[in-house]
Amino acid sequence: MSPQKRGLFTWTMVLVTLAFFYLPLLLLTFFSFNHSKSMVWEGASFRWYAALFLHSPDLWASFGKSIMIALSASLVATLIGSLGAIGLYWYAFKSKRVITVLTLLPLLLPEIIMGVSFLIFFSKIGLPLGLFSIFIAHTTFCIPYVFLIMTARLDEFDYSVIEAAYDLGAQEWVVLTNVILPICRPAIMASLLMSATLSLEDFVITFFVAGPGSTTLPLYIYSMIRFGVSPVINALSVVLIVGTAIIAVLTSRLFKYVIQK
Amino acid sequence: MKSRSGYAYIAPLSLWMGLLLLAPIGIILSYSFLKRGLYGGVSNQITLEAYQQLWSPLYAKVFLNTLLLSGIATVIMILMAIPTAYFMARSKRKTLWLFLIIIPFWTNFLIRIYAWIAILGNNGIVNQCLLRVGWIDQPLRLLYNPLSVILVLVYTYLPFAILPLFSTIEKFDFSLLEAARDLGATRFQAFYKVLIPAIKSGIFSALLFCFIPAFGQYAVPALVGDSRSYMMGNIIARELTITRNWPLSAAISTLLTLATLFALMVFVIQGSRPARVKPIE
Amino acid sequence: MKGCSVTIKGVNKSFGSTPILKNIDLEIKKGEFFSMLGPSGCGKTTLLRCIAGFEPLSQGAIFLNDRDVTTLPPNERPVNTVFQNYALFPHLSVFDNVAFSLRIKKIKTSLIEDKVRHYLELVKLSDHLYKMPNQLSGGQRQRVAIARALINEPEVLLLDEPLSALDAKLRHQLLVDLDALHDEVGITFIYVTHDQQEALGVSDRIAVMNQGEILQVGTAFEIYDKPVNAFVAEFIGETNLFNGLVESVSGTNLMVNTKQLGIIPVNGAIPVRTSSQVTVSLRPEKVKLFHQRPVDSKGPVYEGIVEEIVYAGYQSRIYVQVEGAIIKVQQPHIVGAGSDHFSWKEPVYITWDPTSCCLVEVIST
Ligand SMILES: Nc1ncnc2c1ncn2[C@@H]1O[C@H](COP(=O)(O)OP(=O)(O)O)[C@@H](O)[C@H]1O
Ligand SMILES: [Mg+2]
Repeated sequence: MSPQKRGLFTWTMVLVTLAFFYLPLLLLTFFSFNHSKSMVWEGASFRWYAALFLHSPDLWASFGKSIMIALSASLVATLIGSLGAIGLYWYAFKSKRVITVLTLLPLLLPEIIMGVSFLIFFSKIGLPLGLFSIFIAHTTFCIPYVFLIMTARLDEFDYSVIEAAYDLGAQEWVVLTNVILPICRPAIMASLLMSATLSLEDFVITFFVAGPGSTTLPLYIYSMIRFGVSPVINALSVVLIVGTAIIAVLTSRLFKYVIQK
Repeated sequence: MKSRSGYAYIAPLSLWMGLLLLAPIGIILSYSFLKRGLYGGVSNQITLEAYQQLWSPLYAKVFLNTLLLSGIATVIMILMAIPTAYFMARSKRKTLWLFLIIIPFWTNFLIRIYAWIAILGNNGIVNQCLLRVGWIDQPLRLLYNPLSVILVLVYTYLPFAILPLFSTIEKFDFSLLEAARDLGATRFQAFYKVLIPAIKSGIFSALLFCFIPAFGQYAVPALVGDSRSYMMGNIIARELTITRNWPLSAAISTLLTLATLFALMVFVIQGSRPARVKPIE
Repeated sequence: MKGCSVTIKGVNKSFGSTPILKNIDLEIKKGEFFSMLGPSGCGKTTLLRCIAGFEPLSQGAIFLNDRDVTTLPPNERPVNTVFQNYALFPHLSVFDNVAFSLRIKKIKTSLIEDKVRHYLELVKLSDHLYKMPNQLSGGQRQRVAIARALINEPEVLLLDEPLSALDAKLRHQLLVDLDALHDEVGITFIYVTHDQQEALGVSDRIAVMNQGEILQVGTAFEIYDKPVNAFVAEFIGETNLFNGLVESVSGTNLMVNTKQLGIIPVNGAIPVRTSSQVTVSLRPEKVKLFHQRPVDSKGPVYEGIVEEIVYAGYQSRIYVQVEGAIIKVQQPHIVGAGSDHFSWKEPVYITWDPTSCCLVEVIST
């Protein structure tokens, strides 16, 4: 097709892309209200939502574990990643480049490599697989995202702001707490959000480092998909999509930092 | 400035990444040179056995297969992402469009895969409909083939292509396109000769963000693929957990890592090269 | 050096192996409005940052009120800076920006309140106490930066091209305000700029810099009227420069043989010998322009042709082709007088007072 009319081609592509993204999700939503167990419409019902909310204790237990890991991993990753980003930005080190590359490495490695190396590493040092090993793995792959978000924010404002603080008599500690941290607050929030999302979402790495009794939500979903599809998963999908949308609305202010990656 | 207190800031980061990232990667590398243990694990004996095992047509086929599937998926993603990102960047409602891309992006990865299983599976929506209206007697095998792997890869990683392209195109000075039109270029020429070279770095980072996860994929082929669409990630997992040949698993991991780093180098070098300016014919 | 506000002694500064400041010696008096003037990249900001304490010196020493501060960190030096891009804290309101240094000193809240209000009044910003920096115009941001630096009651205020980001009209207004502020607070101002009009307008003394060196220090009048070399003459205001050989010397009256104008009388403040190679300067506003040959001129008279006329508001610059040279002439517009009107390609006569053309540099003897 020749894009004669202004934007016709791009309009079409955007609609195709959006349809591609949303049709599957809409179909899932539609069938989550289906009374039948199969993918044939047999009348509306909230049956699967009832099953999800009232009769799926294992699922909610796995959700609780996911939340626990997401909270702890995102807190620790944000702490370590932010301090590191500030340190590397603020001071001149000879090893600056080495540390930066090392920090960004998890972004470049395929997830499966991370998963396999963690599994072998944990078994080598004798750390039992479980919630703690998942926490370590998640923190490690969240740190580079925190680092990037924070560095982008630090790059955004002029270094002379920090010099101004020194000039006005501030000690290093005051500069950190009264100038740098407040200026970086949106980036810190974005880091927490991004880390928590990544942690909640991760399947592959968790798959390798999880042990008995540490089934997270993605692992639970995986086993649901793998071993006998129950329409409960349709209802769960809708709940998760709606939850995601709500979080996205609440945090749209932070998109700018999340996207920079 | 003063660098002594600087170490306090970077110490946790360096320690964490050194102990919990570098050490595991080092261990996996060293395992690939060890002899296989009797009941899984390794014995302390240096050998190239794992790499010799790797040197076989079977693994070469898996490697090429992985390259092909992830390559095709990446090309499709870029081709879809450029016009979409361009449209978003020129729109007055950027936040709305971003929003519409971010929601599927943040929706659980497995749910996104599952959506296609629900649609294309043997008991999925399409097959059930076709059976109902009587066009077919047997469910079609729409899933568990290389095409479905590509489809789902595109579905799951497309936002990774759109977002970096969007942020690059957003910084593009659109009046350059008008200047090109003014100088006699057609709309397509203006796009191809002015926009594309200017957003080259965005295209390469999109390539990177799509290709690396697709190339090292495990979950998608495991859920919607069959033995023909096995990728290296699946072989690594199989050797690790089922065959329990850890050195071989480590050797494939090493190979996958090297291939990824190679792709990364090519993309980074290509992406950072200044765009050549060609006159418009 | 006793009693000086700022004393800079033999300061050298290099970045890597590139020398940026070369052997700077400077004494700045208490309460002076001192300007450092030079083209972009000549090292003005670097010198200012050395005084503020952001750049360690490669060599030399800096004294503030006779106290050696060479190794003191910026937060312990009694100087404050108005940064080139203002460097306001983006997360703090106008009030909190100005209060920043007092809060660090843990001063009583009521006292802080009073002082902040006082200083914001001083810079005429009392109406914008609780705005954020991004809600202010460029001029207002700049005033906040000044109030924030002054509230600490520093001994010296450093200003790095504080007006460069503003438009011409605002710049003029702020410059006048700055001058008034200086009179009011009475501390030493060190003002860095690349704009000679700013420097000439307000400074008590000016240091002209080029390529990391200080070429001349003096009042506006001194550096304008007695530039020590061709660079200063050309950088400060407009001028016509000629090279030539000294024909004769009698006291300060020289005759110089220039290639472009032949032999002309020159006022020589620098001792010089006959047959030295020299550069002489003739300011455009000292050249007089006539339609008819002037009869009573004491200086040399040349016939020329108007090559180009550039109108610049209250005056025009006229380029006159004379023998082998183009001479710049500044001509005020006199309302109602027809005699000031010249047109393109018109034959004209130029002349100047014999003392107007001065020797600025001896190239070789
Ligand atoms: N941190 C630095 N590292 C290396 N060179 C610098 C640095 N800061 C300034 N320079 C160089 O020093 C010279 C003088 O700079 P500066 O003092 O900013 O000039 P000015 O303020 O007069 O325009 C310039 O050539 C600049 O490139
Ligand atoms: Mg400067």
